[in-house]
Amino acid sequence: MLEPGRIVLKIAGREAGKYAVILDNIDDNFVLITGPKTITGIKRRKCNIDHIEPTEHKFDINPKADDVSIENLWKSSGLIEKLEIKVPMKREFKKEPVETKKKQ
Amino acid sequence: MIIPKSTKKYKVKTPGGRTVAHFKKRKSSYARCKKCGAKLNRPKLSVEQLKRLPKTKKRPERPFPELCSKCMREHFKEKVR
Repeated sequence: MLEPGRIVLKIAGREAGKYAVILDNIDDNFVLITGPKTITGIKRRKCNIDHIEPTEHKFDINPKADDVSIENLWKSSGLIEKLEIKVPMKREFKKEPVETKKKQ
Repeated sequence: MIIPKSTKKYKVKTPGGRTVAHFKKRKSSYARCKKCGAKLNRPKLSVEQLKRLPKTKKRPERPFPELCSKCMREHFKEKVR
């Protein structure tokens, strides 16, 4: 059930209630997961099997995929609207030109 | 200040020889899980003392701070299944 590409829900800790994708099996108790952070808010990290719950959805990925390719998979699959994930907004700081009064 | 009738009293002998009644301070009850009623690991202090504590020492960082951790996990498991 917990193979690479499976979408899981974290059920413990401060990241509980957020979705992630399994990348690799480290050993019997731990897996490597990533959100990625720009979509669901979970960084690439090691995670105990007891702290995740598998869902029915799955991606086709290889274990060495980077975060940008998984980000594109989320957007193209249409699961963001189906699972009701709140994607954080990207902040853009635009410097507005400061108006200075010229001495006449 | 109005002292309620249910507060417990105890006798104290003053240096002048009188015996006077002192009132015991009331303790707050344990915080409990709203689903199963288990005790939660929260500070058992009065309201005024709780105001001095930072936010992170009064509740956990995870979602559903009013539930115990077991009930929170079951809530998310039911959401997926």
